[in-house]
Amino acid sequence: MFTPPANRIKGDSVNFMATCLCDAIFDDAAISAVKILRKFAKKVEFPQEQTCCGQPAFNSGDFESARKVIRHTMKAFSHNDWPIIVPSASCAAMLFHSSKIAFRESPQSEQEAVEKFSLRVWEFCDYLVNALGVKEIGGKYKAKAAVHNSCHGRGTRTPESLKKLLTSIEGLEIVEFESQDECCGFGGTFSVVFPQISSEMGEAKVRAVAAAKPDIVVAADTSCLLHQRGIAQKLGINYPAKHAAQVFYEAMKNGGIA
Amino acid sequence: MSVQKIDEFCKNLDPVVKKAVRIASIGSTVGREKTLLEAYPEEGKAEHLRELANAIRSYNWAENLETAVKSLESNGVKVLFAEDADEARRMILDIIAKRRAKNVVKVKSMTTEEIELNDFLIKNGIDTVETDLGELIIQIDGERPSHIVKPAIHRRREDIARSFEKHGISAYDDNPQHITLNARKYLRKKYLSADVVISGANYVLAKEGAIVLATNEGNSRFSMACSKTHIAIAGFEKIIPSSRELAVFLNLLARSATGQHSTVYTDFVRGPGSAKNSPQEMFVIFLDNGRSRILGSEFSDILKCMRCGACMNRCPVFRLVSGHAYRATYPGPLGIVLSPLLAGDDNLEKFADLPKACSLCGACADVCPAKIPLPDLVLKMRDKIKRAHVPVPNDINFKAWAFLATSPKLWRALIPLNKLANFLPLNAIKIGPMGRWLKSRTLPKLRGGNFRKWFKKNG
Amino acid sequence: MDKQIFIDKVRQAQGKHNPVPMPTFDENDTVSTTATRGGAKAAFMRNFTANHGDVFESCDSLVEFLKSKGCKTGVADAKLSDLFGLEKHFEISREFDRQNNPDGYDFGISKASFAIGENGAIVFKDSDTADRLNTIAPWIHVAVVDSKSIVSTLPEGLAQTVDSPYAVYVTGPSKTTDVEGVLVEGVHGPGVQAVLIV
Repeated sequence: MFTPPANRIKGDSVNFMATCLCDAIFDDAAISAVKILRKFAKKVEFPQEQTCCGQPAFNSGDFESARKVIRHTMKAFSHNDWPIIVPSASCAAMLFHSSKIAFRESPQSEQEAVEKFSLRVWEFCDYLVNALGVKEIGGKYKAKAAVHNSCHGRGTRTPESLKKLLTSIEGLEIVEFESQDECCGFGGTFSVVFPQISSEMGEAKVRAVAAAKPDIVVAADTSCLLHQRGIAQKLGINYPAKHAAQVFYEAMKNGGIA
Repeated sequence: MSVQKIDEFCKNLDPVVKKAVRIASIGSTVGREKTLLEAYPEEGKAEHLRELANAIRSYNWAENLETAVKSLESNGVKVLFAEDADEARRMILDIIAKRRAKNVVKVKSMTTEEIELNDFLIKNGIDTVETDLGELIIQIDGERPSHIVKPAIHRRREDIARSFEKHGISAYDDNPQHITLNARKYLRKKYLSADVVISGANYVLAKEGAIVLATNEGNSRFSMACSKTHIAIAGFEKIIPSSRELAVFLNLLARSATGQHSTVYTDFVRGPGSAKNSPQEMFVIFLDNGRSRILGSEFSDILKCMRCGACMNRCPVFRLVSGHAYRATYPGPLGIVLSPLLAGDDNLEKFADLPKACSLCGACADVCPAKIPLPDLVLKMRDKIKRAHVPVPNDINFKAWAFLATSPKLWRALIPLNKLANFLPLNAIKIGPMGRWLKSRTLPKLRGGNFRKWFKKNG
Repeated sequence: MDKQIFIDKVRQAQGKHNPVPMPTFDENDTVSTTATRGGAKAAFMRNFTANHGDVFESCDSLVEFLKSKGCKTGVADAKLSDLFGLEKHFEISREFDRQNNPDGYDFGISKASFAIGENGAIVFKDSDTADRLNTIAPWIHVAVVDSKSIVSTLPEGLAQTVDSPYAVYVTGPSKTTDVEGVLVEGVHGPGVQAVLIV
């Protein structure tokens, strides 16, 4: 559903988009992502004018606000034309898929600019494997890992890239759990507009994952994990959630190759 | 405290019903995948069929309609055109009244639900009985269907048996097979005394001038065999070019809907019958009821829907709330786009909350046999409703957020201040987005600006 | 509403979009290789029995089956010329008495126009049926299928279906899962659907 454009640009000098969530809460995930990118890419820049991809406003139907924020984001990354790597499947999908919907009634020139911009945006795991050609993370991390594939990864190569990199880590074992494909109920503002439904979905997800007794829960999105961990904690369920980048970095550190 | 109706419905839903709906929905979803794979193990073949279904329905609607009308008429079918539900109802009553008919049997049709036909006919003194078991079960209790394919999925055997007893269909017996046999006995009498059969149409074949009905119970055959007059009503979007294209759709329909390779019965009706015990006259009513308006809009893709129900079977929200939560003829992912559209631009408030009852997970788009981009349509509906300034509960105003997110200096200054919230008694907040979050979830420690600080040092 | 106004509304609406050409496709794009495996007759028998249809290739086995179900009376469609000796074992009416005896026949037997292997469907057309109720009303129904008339694929079947005022595909006994998802066979149509392949 959120299939990225076919001809996105690649390169070994990249921009990093931290995402507003990492900016506000999950610095660990963003820091790990940058460290990993530095291992495999030549240059990683962080244009500091960046703020947010506009998804919160967009999903709630306020396309005008979304457009304002996307324009700003495009401007923030305009000092070069390098790829933009995002440690979030949902933010990436916002910028390479949904942005076009936000601008569908805008003047042709602006639509073209948005289209051009979308060709630069990649989710983190997808970029490592399919642009930088990373075949393995290597290193060591002994753990049973439950992998949560966020819904915005549907139709993208993020799930397969994430799996490929995780399975290259010595000691890491992926465990299956019930209803893996079902949404965890975060859905951004959905979580607070429909809190009952969101929590029931979240509880079902958390229980299904916990039943597989994983040592860690890994995802390419911190947003889903924010919701799942929040529910788990309230229920008194141990739920050690980590962003994929954190797992990659720890593995490489343990293996002495960080 | 403001609350979303569908969210509230979920809270109050009987856990037994919730479980039943969930199990049935998952069963159909699993069945869909199993049968598609069984029939089309070759890589990409099923996907290609879905692409064909999408493309064939993008073809020239008006030309299909013109061809269909000509063909149907040359087959002896009387073709009528209803602009809206009101006109359709009156047209149907008029046909029935002119023939002094008193007994109508109905083949399950969501289109007739959409125009609210049954109550209208009954109010006008016409005995109208649903012949599909699921529809019969809900009709006698004055309920509306909770699913477009399995209308009684929310009902338990005990309350069905009680209902049958209450309405004089049979003595109390809650064994599913006995319930079915009792319905069979009851409906036999209705079939054999029927004057008119009313159906919808799963597909209309333009070239041959025929309607296609897909059923499992044998009620469409029986209804038609016993009645003198057949009235079929269908939205004009049901028309496909010919029986050649039908192969694409028949291969997708039952597999997507119920996980069957095919429904037990598929009727092809191209006019009054030529055998004994078949209708001697036939009407086809093409319905607009907002469809041409939708066709001309950016939501035209929703008209490709073949009413299989795969999207709602797959939807994690539908599985938790059941069809009645949506308060509309069409529930689930289909309904949150179609129902507000059918209600019309003057009536957006009625279903303005529906497009928000979706976490945008995209699973529906993965199972739609016509590859309708449902999540994109849902998002466009949210835009439409926002621009019409129709308020919805729990809505968050993002104007301030947009201001902050386009003022990078302010952003960089304020984000680190979120750490102050770590010292506040957040759990005291019971209202607003924060209150709703904290009711069932904790929030981690806020660490605003830490990444930027790190990058500056380690740039 | 006037026909022309209705059609014009549709035409005007679709004019707001760029025209899309009709896709080309081959019959093979829709045909299931697994469902049509083994040739027309084998595929039909396999798919029909998978739907709990009963297949008989000799009249004796059919008679035995009907007797085992306790059948005493049957109604045979007038367009079925050969009764295969069934009249020796059962009381067969040649006309369905809707007025007085709609539930009185233990089985119905009628001629199938043809059958389709891919979906395991028996096809009844009005042109080969004297009275539709013969095939619908009795609990047990036997369709007489000429083995030479069985086509392999759904497209082949469709090409010879819609040339009669009415045709119906029947893939097995009638069924429903409307009560709590429990499968029940025998709803309004037959609870037992058999074929006699000749």
